[in-house]
Amino acid sequence: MSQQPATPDQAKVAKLQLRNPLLAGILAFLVPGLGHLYQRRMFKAVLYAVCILATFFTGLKIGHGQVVYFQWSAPESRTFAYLCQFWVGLPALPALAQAKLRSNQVFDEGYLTSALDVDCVGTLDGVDGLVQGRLTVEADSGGGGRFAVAKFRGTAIQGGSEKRIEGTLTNCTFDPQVGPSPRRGVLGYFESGGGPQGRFQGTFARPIWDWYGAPLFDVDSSRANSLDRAHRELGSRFELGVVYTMIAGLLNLLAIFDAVYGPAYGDDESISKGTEAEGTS
Amino acid sequence: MGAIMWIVGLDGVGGLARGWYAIPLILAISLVYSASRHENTSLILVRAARLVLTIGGFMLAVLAVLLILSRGG
Repeated sequence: MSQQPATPDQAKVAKLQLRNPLLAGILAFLVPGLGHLYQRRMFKAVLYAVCILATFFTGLKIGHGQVVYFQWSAPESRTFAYLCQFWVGLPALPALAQAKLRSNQVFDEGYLTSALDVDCVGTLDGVDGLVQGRLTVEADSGGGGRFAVAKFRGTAIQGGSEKRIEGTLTNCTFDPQVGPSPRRGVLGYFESGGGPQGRFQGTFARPIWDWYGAPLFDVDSSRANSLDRAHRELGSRFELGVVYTMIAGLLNLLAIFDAVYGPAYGDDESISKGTEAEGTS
Repeated sequence: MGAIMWIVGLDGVGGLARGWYAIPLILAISLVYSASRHENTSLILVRAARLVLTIGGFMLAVLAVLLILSRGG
């Protein structure tokens, strides 16, 4: 049998054959552009990755990392925005894990699971500058973290000069272990032998797994209203961040479909152009 | 002049400064939408450029209508 030259229709089918569409779809869901990279469609891989991830993380930045979270159980309001954000894949999945895999206690104010030994920055009544140093809390130093006793050793800026301070913080209350801000707050009464004393208000860094995608609370009266605080601090930037991240998720839906089924209009024009170019050469 | 300053957000009260946030969104939406319709690189870029102009033009037209209406009030 003699080999027939491929017709434009056959060429179209051959050109649009996609490598393992199901796996490519899963990869495209997990990381925008990864499915196309697997299918060796490099331009689209870069385009999807840059456009979708840049949109998502810009939204997250505008919203100070507080706009992607999952909340679906009563009495809190449901986060319908997350239904769109979810489709960005891995960058949005930690929000689901925070809501479903963490115990309820980690969202409670003052709850301490283990001892703390952290760098802390704050203000102290009677001291005009910042106070910074090392905050140490024993695991069993108070009623489960509420009204805990902590040790503080560091420096205070007083009248333009740095002064060493060391003392005890009593009646300490801590922000929840898991919260939407990269810094965790602590409030207590500072006492030192002969040095400054008074109300101390400080913050220390939260590990990323304790703040990224952390849920915001609004209705539950037993918890601090973090949604209200986010709206107060961010104003319209909160909504802007939500819109950016939602659009990123919806755009990745298009990319997933492209990885599984190919482009919606096929490749008609490029093939016909290619055929014309071959014909003229 | 005042209207232009208001549109670009240089009037000291914010104006339409938040409108600038729409530009990266329009670019990303146009590029991703066109890429999901076509396979050919140059075709994607041409269609994306056309879509940017369409969306941008539509938004500017709505802005113009709103500006005219607000002057009437």
